Amino acid sequence: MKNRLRVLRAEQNWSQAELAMRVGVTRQAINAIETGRYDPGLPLAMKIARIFEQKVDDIFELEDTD
Amino acid sequence: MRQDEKRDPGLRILGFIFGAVALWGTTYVAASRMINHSSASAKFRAAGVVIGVLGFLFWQLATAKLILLQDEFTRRIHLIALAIAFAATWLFIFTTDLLQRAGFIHFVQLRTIWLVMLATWGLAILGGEWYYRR
Repeated sequence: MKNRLRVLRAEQNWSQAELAMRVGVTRQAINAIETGRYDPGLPLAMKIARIFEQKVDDIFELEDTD
Repeated sequence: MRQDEKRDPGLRILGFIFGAVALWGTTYVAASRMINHSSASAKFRAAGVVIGVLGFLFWQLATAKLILLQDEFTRRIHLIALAIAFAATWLFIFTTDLLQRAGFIHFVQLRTIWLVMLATWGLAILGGEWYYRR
């Protein structure tokens, strides 16, 4: 699964730590999502989408290999 | 706001961990002394076993509670680490069983098994964090 989290975060000029605080997870979690090593569960994906005022589908996208 | 609510949650968790480990350590030492006492009665030694088990059980419950308090990503790391620790310990038991039956080793203490599990669990947590951080 790929995502646009890094781009969206940069647009808001937020650090990973700041986004992590807003979403209620650790900075390591945000880093792992951004690097594609970890796909968040539905509640976390929805929280992230809500923070950026976007739909989950607009942030996270399934790849052919998923 | 109450005084304990003002404290850093990280510090509170750290205190909780130290408290649980200290209780486990204390009860373990006490239990070891009680069950190793050569002239002690069976009741006294049984009490030692109960104290040791209760201390360990409290530590287990405290650790489980701590893991459940973390975010989903940290819980994932712990889930993987526990799976690795379980598999590694199983492998260790299986291997030592064969080695023992084959006559290559004489005897493996049960204490060694849980220490292997504890060490593997710790290493797997560090390994998991490293994997997601790199």
